Amino acid sequence: MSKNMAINLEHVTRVEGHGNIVLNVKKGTIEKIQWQVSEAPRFFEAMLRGRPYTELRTIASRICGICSIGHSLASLKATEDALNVTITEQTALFRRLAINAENMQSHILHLGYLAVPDLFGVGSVFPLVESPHKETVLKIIQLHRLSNELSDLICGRTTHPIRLIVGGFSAFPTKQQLLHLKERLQEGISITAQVAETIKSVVDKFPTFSRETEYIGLTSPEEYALYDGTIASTDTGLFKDAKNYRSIMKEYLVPWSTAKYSKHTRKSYMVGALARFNLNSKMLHPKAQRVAKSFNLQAINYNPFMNNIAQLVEFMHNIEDSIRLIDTIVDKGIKEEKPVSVTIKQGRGVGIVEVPRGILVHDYSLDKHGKCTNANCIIPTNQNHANIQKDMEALVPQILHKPKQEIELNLEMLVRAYDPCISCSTHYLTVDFI
Amino acid sequence: MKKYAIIGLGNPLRKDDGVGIVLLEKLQKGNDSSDEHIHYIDGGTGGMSLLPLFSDFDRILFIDAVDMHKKPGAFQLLDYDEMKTKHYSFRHSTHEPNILKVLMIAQQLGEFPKNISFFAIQPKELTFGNNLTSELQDHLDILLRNLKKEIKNFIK
Repeated sequence: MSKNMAINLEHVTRVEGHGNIVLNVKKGTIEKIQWQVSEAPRFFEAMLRGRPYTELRTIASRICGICSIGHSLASLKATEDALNVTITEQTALFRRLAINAENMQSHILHLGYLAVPDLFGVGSVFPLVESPHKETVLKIIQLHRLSNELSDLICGRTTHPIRLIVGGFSAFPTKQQLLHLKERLQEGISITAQVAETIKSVVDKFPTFSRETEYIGLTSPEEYALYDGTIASTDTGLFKDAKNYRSIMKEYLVPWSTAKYSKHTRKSYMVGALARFNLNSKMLHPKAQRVAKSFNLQAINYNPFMNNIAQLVEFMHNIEDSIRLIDTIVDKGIKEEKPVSVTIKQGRGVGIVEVPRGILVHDYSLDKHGKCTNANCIIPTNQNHANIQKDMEALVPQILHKPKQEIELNLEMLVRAYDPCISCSTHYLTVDFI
Repeated sequence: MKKYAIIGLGNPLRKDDGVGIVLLEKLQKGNDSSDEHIHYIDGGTGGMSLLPLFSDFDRILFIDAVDMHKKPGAFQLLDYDEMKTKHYSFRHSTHEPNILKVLMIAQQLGEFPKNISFFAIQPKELTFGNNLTSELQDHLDILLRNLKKEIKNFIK
């Protein structure tokens, strides 16, 4: 083949933040494929340093407008770990409801507004609104509203939660409010099933592609792990030494990107909904299992485009799980608990949760006055950059015969499938201008 | 009964970008009104997350940092059409699309309130940092006074 091609897609659209795709082909030979993350460095970790433990959660929640609950929970878990605080059973149940709310909010936002337009062959959600698929968009908004209601009720807000505090919650909803929400969640099940049917009718628009890689996430023998669990890899199994997470999530630099890349046993690994599905699919609730089955999604699935479908499966799981949690909370009776009291001491704590885009780590050191002396945050999107790069290197030779426009679209769809939140990713290398 | 929302936008970790949130918090703290029809909402950098909110209200007033090429701390009340036509620049949005695009989608879907206004404030710096610049700090009292005045008109 004597094909020449230069693709330079700056600021890939419908992703959170700025990333570029560069592809150079000369006489049919691929000379360059790069996934470049060009966003300016952020300094959230520096902002945490010097602040008292009571403020860390509030600052962390502002790292991301989409994952503010996840950053809050990772922050609280790190702080509580450093201060040896053990939360109550009720707090653990409500925090699980909070993390379900965020997973639902983020997944439906990504699927409905950012990924689905590709399946219907349109450039954004705008033309979709004026097409025969408007009804689908309205159903997606219904599900989005339901997700926000769950967040409002548990966290006190749609974004940037206020009720989540060190040692517990500042306020709890009433039994009546929870039962009303349960009814709404039950309605959400059938709407989700309808949206799933619509997506199924166009799912063949995702490229058929498979590349074996490693998947990392939390796992638990008791539940589909989101709030709590042990780090696990599809390559190496359980990793119980959470405080030593850096030996799993090894960051490194590449010359073409301001963001750090990550690897473990291979040159890259993937985190997020598909990673969680591949590790924990047996722990999904029944209706979520049925959604997965209807898309023929089985662990281990090596097609990154199926991350979109894993998000849909998780959305159904989050609804079912929230109903189960509400039943448990109501059965036990809601106690007006005050947050667990804290004895300030020096220490280091690590908090790990699963957020929509994958496993998130906050690691804080506190001095004897409870002030943060050091902070480290491992953001899911940064962990996925290397995997996106390796996927591109494997995908391009398979699609090189296609027209340029189609290659561009396929590469953009690949990036979007990871639902990257580049804006929120920390850990950029320092650039020295000489 | 009409329902009103006052929505603060921005990121307090990006200096003057957080002015909408700072003013919202000041409004909430000094709120002695028991009017349950006014809802104060911290929209943060929610972007599309805010889409399902809009149709819950008859009128929405956004408080946001907007580059209007004025002196830092200057403010202006703008309606939705003015915002669309003036092509002012919003913050270095951490999440696409910006609030105007989200509102346009809401409008197309019929998920739209009857009236939308912006209390737009000219920022000085949008770089990383926990606090407002001194220029905006100095203007906070004037901004709050005028914002309260606008809210009185807004809920008439």
